[in-house]
Amino acid sequence: MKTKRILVIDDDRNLTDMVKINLVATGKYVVCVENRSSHAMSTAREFRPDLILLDYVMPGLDGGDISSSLHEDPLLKSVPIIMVTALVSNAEMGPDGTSPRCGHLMMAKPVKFQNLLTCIEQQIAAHPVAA
Amino acid sequence: MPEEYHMNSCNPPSESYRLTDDQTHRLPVRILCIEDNEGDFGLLRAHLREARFDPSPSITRAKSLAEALQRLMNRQEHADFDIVLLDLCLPDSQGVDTFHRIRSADPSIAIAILSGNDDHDLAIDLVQQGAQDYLPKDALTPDVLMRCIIYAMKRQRYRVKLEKVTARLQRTTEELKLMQTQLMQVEKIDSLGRLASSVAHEVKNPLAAIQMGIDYLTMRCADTGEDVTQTLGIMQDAVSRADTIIHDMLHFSRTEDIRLVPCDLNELVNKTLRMLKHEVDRRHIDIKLALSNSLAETLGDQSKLEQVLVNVIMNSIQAMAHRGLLEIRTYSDEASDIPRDEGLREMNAMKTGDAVSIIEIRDHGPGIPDEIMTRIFEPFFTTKATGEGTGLGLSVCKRIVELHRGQMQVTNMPEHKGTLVRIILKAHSVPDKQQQIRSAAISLLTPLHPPL
Repeated sequence: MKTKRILVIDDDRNLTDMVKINLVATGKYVVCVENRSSHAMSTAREFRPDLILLDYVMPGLDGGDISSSLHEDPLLKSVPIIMVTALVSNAEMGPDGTSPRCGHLMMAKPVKFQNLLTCIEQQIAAHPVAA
Repeated sequence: MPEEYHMNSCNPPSESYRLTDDQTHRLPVRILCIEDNEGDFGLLRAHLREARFDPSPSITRAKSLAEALQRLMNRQEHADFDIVLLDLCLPDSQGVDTFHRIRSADPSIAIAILSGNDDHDLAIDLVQQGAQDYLPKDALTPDVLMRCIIYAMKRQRYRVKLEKVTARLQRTTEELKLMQTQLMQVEKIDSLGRLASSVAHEVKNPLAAIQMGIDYLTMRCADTGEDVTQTLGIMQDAVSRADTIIHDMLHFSRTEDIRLVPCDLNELVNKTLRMLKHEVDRRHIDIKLALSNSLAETLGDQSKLEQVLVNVIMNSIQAMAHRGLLEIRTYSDEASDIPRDEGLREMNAMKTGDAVSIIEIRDHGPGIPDEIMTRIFEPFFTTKATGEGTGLGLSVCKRIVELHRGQMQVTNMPEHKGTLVRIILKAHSVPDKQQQIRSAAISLLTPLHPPL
C-alpha cells in the first residue's frame, strides 16, 4: 500500500513530535510537522498532504482561519481535516473519540493514538481522490 | 403651616414647641387618661383645661386596664390617641406591668406616667423601658403637664420615625450583605472559570504529548515484561484521571446552555440506580424507593441531572461506608422559603408558591459536621483523599441545578441520623414552546470559550 502524507499543524512541538513518531512507526505514513500557523498554508501547498491534523488554538492564525484558507485553496480544498483540539473534552466525544462539530471532525486532546489512527484511516478511505 | 403651642410667659420655652408633623396640624391633642381615682382625674382634667392648648385637647378616660386596653384596641370607632397619661396603680393591674400591657397594646403611642409617689429609680427604669415621662402627681401644674405632653408626643414621634428608619436600614444592610455574598460567589466562579479554561488548555497539550508517548511505548514494549506493562498502565490511568479532572473543571466553569426537555424524574432515579448498581451491591446498600405516581413533569437536561444524581448518591453511599439504608423519594410540592437572590432577577426564577417536583435522597450515615456544612458547595472543597475526589462534585451539582432554576438543599437529620439532600425543580405542566426556548437559552455568565 502506498504511504500517505500527513501534515500536522500544531504549535506544541512536543506533541507534534510524538504524533510524528507514532505515525511513522506504523510504516504507513510520511509526516510533515508545521508548528507555525502562519506558515501552515505554504507548507501545505508544498507538502501536498493526503490528510491534515489541525490544532485550533494557536497564536496568530488559528485552526478556523487555516481551515477556511484550506477550503478556498483549489489544490487543498478536498484534503480531509481532523481538528485535534483542547477546546473539547474526551468526555464529550463519541465512543471512537471523535465528534462532528460545526462541519469539522473533532478529536479532543489528549487523544489516544489508536483512536487517531482509526480516524485517519477512515478519513483517507473516505476521500480516495484527495491529493 | 406648622402649629405653635404657646407656653406661659413665666416658663419661657428653651426650644421651639413647633410640631412639625402635618398630621397634628390644627388637630386637638387626643389624650387617654388611665386613672381610677376620681379626685386625681378631676385635678388632671382641671389642669388640662387650664393649660393653654389650642385647640383644647380631647380627653378620654379609662378607669381600669381592661377598659384602657379596649379603648386602645377599638380603633375603628375612636380616633388614635396621641398620648396616654397613665396611673400605674389600677384596680386590675399594678406597677410596671401596667405600663408594659399598655405599651404592647400600641407601641407607637407616647406614654407619660403619673405617679402618686416620687420613686426616682422606678422613674429612670420606666423611661429606659420606653415611657416618655414620669411625673409625680403632686408636682403637676397646668404648664408642667402641657410641656410634658408636648415633649412626650414629639419625642415619641421621633422615636417611631427612628425605629422605622432603623428597621429599613437594617433590611437594606441585610440585603446588601446578601448581594455582596452572591456577587463574591459569582466573581469566584467567574475567575475560576477563566483560570480553569486557560489552565485546561495549557495542561491538555502536554498531556496529549504524554498520551502519545504512552501509546508509542505500549506499542513498542508490549512484550518486554510485566513491570513495563504495569508502569504503562499506571501512566495511562494517571493521564486519564488528569483528563477527567480538567473536564470537571471546565464543566464547572463553562456555562453551556442546558438543553431542557420534558423529564420524568422517577425514570431518572431508576436509570441512575441502574448505573450505580455495581457500587450499591458492592457496598451492601439497601435502597428504599418511594417514587410518586403523580409526580409533575419537569423540564430538565437529562444527562446533566443524571450527573447530579450520580454525584449525590455516590456521596451518600460513601458516607455510609459499608451496609446502610439509602432512601430515595420523589414528590410534588409547593416551593417554600425560597431565599431571595438579588443577583438573579429573572422571570423564570423559582418563587415561593411555585409547583415543584422534588427528589429527596437520604442516607443513614453520620451526617455532615457543622464546620464542613457551610463549605460543601465551595469549588475544590473536599474531604476525600487526593485522587478520590476533586472537590468539584457538589459545586458542579449545585450549579447544574441552579442552571435549571432549581434549588439544591443539603441538611443534616437531627441527632446525627444521616443527611438529606433535596433537589427541587420547577414543575412543568403545560408544554410551552416559548418557555422551553427561553429556558434553554439561560446562562449565568457570558461564555468563556470562543465558539467553534
